[in-house]
Amino acid sequence: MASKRTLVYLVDDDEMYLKTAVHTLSQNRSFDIKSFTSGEKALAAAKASKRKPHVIVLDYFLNSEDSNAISGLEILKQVKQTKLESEVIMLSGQENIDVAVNSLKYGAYDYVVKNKSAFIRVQNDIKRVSRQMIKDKETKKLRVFVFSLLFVIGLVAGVAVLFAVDSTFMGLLPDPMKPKEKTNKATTESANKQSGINNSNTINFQDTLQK
Amino acid sequence: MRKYEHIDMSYLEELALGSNEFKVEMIESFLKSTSESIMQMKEAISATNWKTVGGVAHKLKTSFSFVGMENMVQLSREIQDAGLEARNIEDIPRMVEELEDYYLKSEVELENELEELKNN
Repeated sequence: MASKRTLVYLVDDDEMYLKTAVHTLSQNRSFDIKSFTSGEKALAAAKASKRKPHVIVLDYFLNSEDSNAISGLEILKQVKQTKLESEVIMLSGQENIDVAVNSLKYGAYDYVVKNKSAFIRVQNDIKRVSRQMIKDKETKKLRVFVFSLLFVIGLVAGVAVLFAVDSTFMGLLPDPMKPKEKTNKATTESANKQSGINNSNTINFQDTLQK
Repeated sequence: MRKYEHIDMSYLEELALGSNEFKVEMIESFLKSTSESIMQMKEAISATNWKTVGGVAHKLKTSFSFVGMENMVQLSREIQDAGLEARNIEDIPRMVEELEDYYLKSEVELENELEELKNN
């Protein structure tokens, strides 16, 4: 049975920060938390798992001392390219306008500075994303229901119209029974002619009688 | 909560939400990672790898903030900026040494705090 909890990936190479984030966010029972110390591991896990993360909380300067490692910004770009449908919240220890602009430019949901209120802001962002996802799901269900209903109504209306047209059409065509009526008419006419003669004979006889 | 000269446990206390286990884990993690990071910075200075020095200092900033060492947060920021932007690099060795001195003083206080938490 699919979980209704919001799946959150936390990605940070700073183990102290990661431990704190896991501890704090796990207090919320509606979140399922998975943590990773590298962006590559997080991406691999997301691609391999049937259950995709709803939210990825990602450090902007991931493994900044390792020039071979993929940065947080690169991971963000890859998440958006692979169409994981996960929202990304970028975290950074710096109040840097370029970092904020880049994060939002490449599709991050929010950019949060790692200060004392960071965890509250991240938690609120996750709740907002979760509510939006539920809303989108319900809208989709409603859309499917309405289209299905319209389809059924259309189908019924179409059948009804066809039936009505069929009935009218049948009315305009000569009735296959009608030639028999003509035959009967002819028979009747000849019969009437016959009876007409008889009638005149009868009348003459009556006239004669009266005379 | 005990008062110390070089550290302030109030933020960690707030984050722990009553969990001593969490506080122990965090202090142990800080002690291990900070000593490793200082070693890493010194090696990077020897190799004149300023970007690595800057990157390590960037991580240390948040670690110091957890144990209330605000002056070390500021010093880490200066080392980070100098290393990542490769400016005032002649000041980097001195700053790293200053950081190590302060850390060693705080280490004693953190070990005491750790012992108290484990005994509770």
